[in-house]
Amino acid sequence: MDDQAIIDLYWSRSERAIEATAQKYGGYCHTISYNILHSREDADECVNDTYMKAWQTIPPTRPARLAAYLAKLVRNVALHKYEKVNAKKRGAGQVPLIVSELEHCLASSVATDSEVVELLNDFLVRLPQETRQIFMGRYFHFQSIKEIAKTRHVSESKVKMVLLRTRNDLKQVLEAEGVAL
Amino acid sequence: MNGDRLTRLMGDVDDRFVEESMEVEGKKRRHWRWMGGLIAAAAVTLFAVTWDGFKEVIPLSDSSSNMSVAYIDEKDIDVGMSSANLIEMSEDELFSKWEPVVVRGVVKQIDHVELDFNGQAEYQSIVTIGVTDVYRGDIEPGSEVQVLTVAGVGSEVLQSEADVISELRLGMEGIFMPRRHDASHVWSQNGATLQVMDVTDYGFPDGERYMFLNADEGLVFSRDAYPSLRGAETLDDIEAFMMDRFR
Repeated sequence: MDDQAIIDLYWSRSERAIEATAQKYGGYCHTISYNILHSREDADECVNDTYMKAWQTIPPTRPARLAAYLAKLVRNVALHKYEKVNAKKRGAGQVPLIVSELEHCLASSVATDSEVVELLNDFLVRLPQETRQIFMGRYFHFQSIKEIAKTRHVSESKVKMVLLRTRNDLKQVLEAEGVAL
Repeated sequence: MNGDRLTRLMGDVDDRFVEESMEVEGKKRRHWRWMGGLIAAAAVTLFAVTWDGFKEVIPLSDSSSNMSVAYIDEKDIDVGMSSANLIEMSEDELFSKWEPVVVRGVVKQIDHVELDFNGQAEYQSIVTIGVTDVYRGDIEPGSEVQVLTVAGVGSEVLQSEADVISELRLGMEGIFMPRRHDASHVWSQNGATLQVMDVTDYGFPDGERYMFLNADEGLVFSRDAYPSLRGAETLDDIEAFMMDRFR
């Protein structure tokens, strides 16, 4: 079923919307959730919560890109769950590694979230496509270095090098824009 | 804490970057291996084939350039997730836009091909349909038609916008609406050009709306695309509609 038809089901308040969403994007949502939580049960729970959030927000929202909309929902839900579970300790999986990698890109700043996101978009659009996909794979989808290397048919050392250089470039961009103080 | 903040804000970047980096499944590495058995099978296909290393190549006309098309094994299909959305069309437009033929038939064969656009690979499948009834078009009952369509038909490969055709299996009966390829159907990519009718005479415009399948679990088709057929339960219901519309 095409995305528009699924969104129409949400708008008509048909419960088939969730069924169609699960059929088409359930695996994708579960992958993001699992990358963050490293627990199949928790990942399943987050995916179900994501369906409910989609049900609650469509309408009034009419996503232009349903896949990306769901990806952002499940990412947020899973990160919130991760923070809750690991409030007092460093958890397992990719999250602590990714947070650590990004720690030095953005220093304390008075810039608002929307200003930083705008800079991120400007930065991403200028990257070569492969670099952007590797960067997004790591920092949006929480993929491991090994997984990115396997998916893209490149060595793990290349992925690490691309990520390191891109993080350094991002840091420079943010500093140049006065975001990183 | 800045790492936490940046990690969180990465979740708000533009949707196009999210979609671009989506992968339904990890891409598979190609493993070349002896494919002698496949060569023998291909000898009975409608295409004349030539031997090129480990692949059977479909000969192309001079209208195609800088590319090759070769049969591959299902395991060698290598696709990411397409982010393209279907063009919205009404029920009438689905019948009129491409003027597809409308036939009833049985899936006789499913092949997979790699299209090498000057070093950039794309993957498609070819479905051979044994035609039993014709509701629209100049195809003869008893003939076979080969239809080019999205990759991974009848296999485990996942593709977006291909929910219906992903249910298609060898031996399955259905009503199919392929469009006929002509000289205007040219696929250009990476400096290469494919005259699509070099590969097959017909193609499905998408993997969702141009077939009605008699699957084990019942009739499978894009019900939202055909409001007149929402209540259809069997292939015969579809046939009655087509006969009424085209005869």
